Amino acid sequence: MRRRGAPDDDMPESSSPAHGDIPPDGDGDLEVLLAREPGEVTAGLRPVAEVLSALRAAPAPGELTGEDLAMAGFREMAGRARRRARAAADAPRHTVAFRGPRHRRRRRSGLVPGPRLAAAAALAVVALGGVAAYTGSLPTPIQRLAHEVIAAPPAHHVARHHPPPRPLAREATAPAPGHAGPAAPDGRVRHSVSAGSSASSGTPRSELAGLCRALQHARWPGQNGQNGQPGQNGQDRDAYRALVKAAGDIWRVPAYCSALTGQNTWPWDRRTQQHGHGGSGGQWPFPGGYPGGRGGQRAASRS
Amino acid sequence: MVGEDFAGLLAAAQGGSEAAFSVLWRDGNPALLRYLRVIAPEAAEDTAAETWVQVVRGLPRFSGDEAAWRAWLFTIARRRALDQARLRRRHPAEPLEGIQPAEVPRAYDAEQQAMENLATEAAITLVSRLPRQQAEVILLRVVAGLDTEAVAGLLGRSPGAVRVAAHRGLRKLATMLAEAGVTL
Repeated sequence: MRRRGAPDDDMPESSSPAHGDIPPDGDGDLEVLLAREPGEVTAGLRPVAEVLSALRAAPAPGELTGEDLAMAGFREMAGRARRRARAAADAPRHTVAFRGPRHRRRRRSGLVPGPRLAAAAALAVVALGGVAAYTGSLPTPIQRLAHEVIAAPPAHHVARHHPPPRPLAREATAPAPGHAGPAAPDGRVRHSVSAGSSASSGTPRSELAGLCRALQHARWPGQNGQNGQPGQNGQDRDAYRALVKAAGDIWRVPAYCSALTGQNTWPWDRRTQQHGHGGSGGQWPFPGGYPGGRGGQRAASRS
Repeated sequence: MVGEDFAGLLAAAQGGSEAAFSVLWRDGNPALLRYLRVIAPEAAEDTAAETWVQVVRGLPRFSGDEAAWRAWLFTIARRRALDQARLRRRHPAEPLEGIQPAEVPRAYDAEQQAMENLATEAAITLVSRLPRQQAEVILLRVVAGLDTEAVAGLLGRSPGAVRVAAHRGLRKLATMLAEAGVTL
């Protein structure tokens, strides 16, 4: 008991086997007394055996008082544990719901996202835009625009392995104020195209509308045999970059242009027909910009 | 001792079963009180109650067999008893302060009482007259049902030291009974 600060006067001074581990002869009987089911002992030890037997006797009634107190403590502990378990079970559900698809769907359908969520959505749109550009989910001119102006590799080339182009993400930043409003209940970003020049790009509206019309009526190699692509020279490239900037990002260009020109008809490349956009022409299925996410991809497939 | 059902009872108690905890309490409390009446005679019941409070708190985290359970139970009881003793030393409230626990239970004639009925109380009284460590070792072996190694772990002593203390205590008991003229 020295380690616990308790009296130690009746313990052997040394606990080494040489001094204390080997009981003296005759201690076998004593060990028998201490066994859980004592056997026969010598006559001299029988009174001791009786004393020890009394120590092992069945509980006296007085030794079972206090059970109520212990049970009350147990009930309290069990109740607390149940409450903790319930709270723990609830807490992750909140977390999962906040991050999970169900939560996102619910937010899209009914709630206006906060600034952080809107920023996250914009980033997701940009990132998904990069991916979808390769898979032909954009109208052909926009896809070409992405490839030529924003230096994204051709769709059929990148679709094999390449990661999304970083330049796209850098160029197609968050929507400019006044050009991309908060997400609508369906999660799409609505454009409000103001008159005059674009606040963000500084390009006159008429010039932007002209660029949009050029895109909407463009004829690409393989479509009616006409040539010509946006951004073939440096001047064009700058103009189309201004258009992308005015729209907010490459994904919003179709919606932006549709709002600007009043037309929502876009030529689609044949390679994109597996997405159901029609043959040589079709409607951009997302009036407010590409919605992003799986739901958007499914919508693209259905349309 | 609970025996084979112990694991199931423990699991049920840890799951919140009052009936299962009641069985564990009814199995453990009498032994606990007998032990505490020797090592903390002034506050055996209080210490036992505090022990169960601690047990209840730690119950969800406990894992082990019945031997481990009893070792845990008596370890808590012992610590609570030591805490109580320290507290009492710092804040003496009764004039019995200077009296050693082993000397407190004074029946009119403990040996004679043990001889007459060998009732549990008398046996506890008799054992409490042993030197404290010998009494404690005997009670942990006999009442708590712990083996030498478990007692050694609980007391922080070597198994050999525990064994020697137990044997010395038993011999002393035999001497006490013989001096009282008890023969069977």
